[in-house]
Amino acid sequence: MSHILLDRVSVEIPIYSGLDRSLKLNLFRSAGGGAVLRSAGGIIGRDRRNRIVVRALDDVTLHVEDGDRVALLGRNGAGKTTLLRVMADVMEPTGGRVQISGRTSTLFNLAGLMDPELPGYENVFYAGGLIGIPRSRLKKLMPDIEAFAELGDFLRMPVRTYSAGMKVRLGFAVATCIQPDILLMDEVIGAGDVHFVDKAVRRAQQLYKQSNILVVASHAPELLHGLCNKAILLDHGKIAAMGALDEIAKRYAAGDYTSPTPVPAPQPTA
Amino acid sequence: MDATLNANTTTAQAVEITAAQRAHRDIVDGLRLWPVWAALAWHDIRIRYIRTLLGPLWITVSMAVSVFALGLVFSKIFNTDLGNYLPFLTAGLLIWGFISGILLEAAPTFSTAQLIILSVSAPYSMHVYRGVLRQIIIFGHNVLVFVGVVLVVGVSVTPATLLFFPALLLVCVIMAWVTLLLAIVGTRFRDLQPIITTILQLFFFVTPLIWDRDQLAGRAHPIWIDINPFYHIIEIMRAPMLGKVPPLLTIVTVVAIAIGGWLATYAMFTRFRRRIPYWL
Repeated sequence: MSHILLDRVSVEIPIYSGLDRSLKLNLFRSAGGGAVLRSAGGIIGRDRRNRIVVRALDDVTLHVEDGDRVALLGRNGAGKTTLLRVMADVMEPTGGRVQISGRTSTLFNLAGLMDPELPGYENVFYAGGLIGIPRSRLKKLMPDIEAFAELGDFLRMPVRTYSAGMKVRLGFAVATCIQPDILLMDEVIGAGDVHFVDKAVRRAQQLYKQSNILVVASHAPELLHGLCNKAILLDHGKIAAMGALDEIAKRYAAGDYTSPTPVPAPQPTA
Repeated sequence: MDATLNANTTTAQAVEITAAQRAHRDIVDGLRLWPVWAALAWHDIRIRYIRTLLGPLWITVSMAVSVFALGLVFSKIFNTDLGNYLPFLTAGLLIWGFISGILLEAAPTFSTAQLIILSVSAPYSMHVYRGVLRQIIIFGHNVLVFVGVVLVVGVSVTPATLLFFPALLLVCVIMAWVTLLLAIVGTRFRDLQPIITTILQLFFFVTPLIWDRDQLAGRAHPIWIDINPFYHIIEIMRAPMLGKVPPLLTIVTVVAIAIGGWLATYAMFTRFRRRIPYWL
């Protein structure tokens, strides 16, 4: 049984670029007071040690169980990628507790994990090795990867000759050639052409028919129908809404990010 | 089955583990992932010489050229016999290249692996081992130059020559903690890289590489050589290459550096491991 449990998780990313002085005056103007200015991105504030931080996740509590196929929705900088990183155990949160059980595979920027100088075939071993699939296993899975990526002779060409969509095809084929208990994806599917998106969704559906967890961050919930059954709407690092995909997607489309509880301004502690 | 290869597998964490356990697990799991980082280290070398005619043999050629040129010039300056001087110089420059290569690439270890670190939950130490192995591979190519020198001028091969292998292992143990420590600090403080470059330039001249310690006799106190950690790390490998047993002081110093360094680095890694993705 796999599950992901997040208990009051927050992530504060310190910014070390000497921004301190220029930001000092404007820090809490937008977030504090009655009328909250709704900008994109996390909340800029200060941590306990008075450093400038971006609060990418703020007091997030959620439980993802077997059979949950969750879409993460939200504007740019709402915290989708950070939340995925916490779920992937790539980042330990600065506050709160995380409990994950199950074999996790991540598909974040897999195209970025390829080496542009190497041909497609070599990159299957390179990227596959990085996500933890042994070479021998990849060799056996190669026909499946070839068939799914539909890149033909391009697999013999250096990846730098590929278009963005072609890289995604190859990356998706590699990441889904084994079946992990938990698959986390960040904005991956949308980069392909219509035919590919269709194919990718079908493949993911097939993989996640049974008891597994899938979490996909996306700006395009219409692609996720039939793939996801639940959705989480994030706003300024907080969970604004959680529920069935259709209902949440409607709110997302309408721009209704009002959370059940008002978003408190970050407290500048002394 | 493929227990060694679960790079991005998060096992059940029913019991919360401490930072020290995480650090320990990172270092050990990283070692178990050797098929991955060994492939990556080879990949680094291949990429560097892709589309070149000689490939990685360029490493050997460029080392051969510098050894030959330096040997010719300095044997004249020091008025020494090339037959004695050339093996000494070659061994020293080879080991120096190995150590300085590791140190020069250490600080940005995690920032160059940023994409991997932020994409898959794999032990950070694997990037450290990858960097050390990359330099071992380069060193392996350079050893061909030394073999060439040995064949031409002749070097006494004694039972002590075999000490080279444990010495290499010991130096690699040191290089692993040095790389990890510099990588941690270098991720947070980007000034580290130019600092290391500067320090290495200094040590290239004050460490007996081009000159030997006998040549300094009477002119400077030997303490200036004995307190130089680079001297001992180089000497423990160079002495066996020249068929000699390394001095006891050198062996003791190197073992102490290996153990003490790992203890300090382990403490640092425990304390700051979780901050690394935040610093990238």
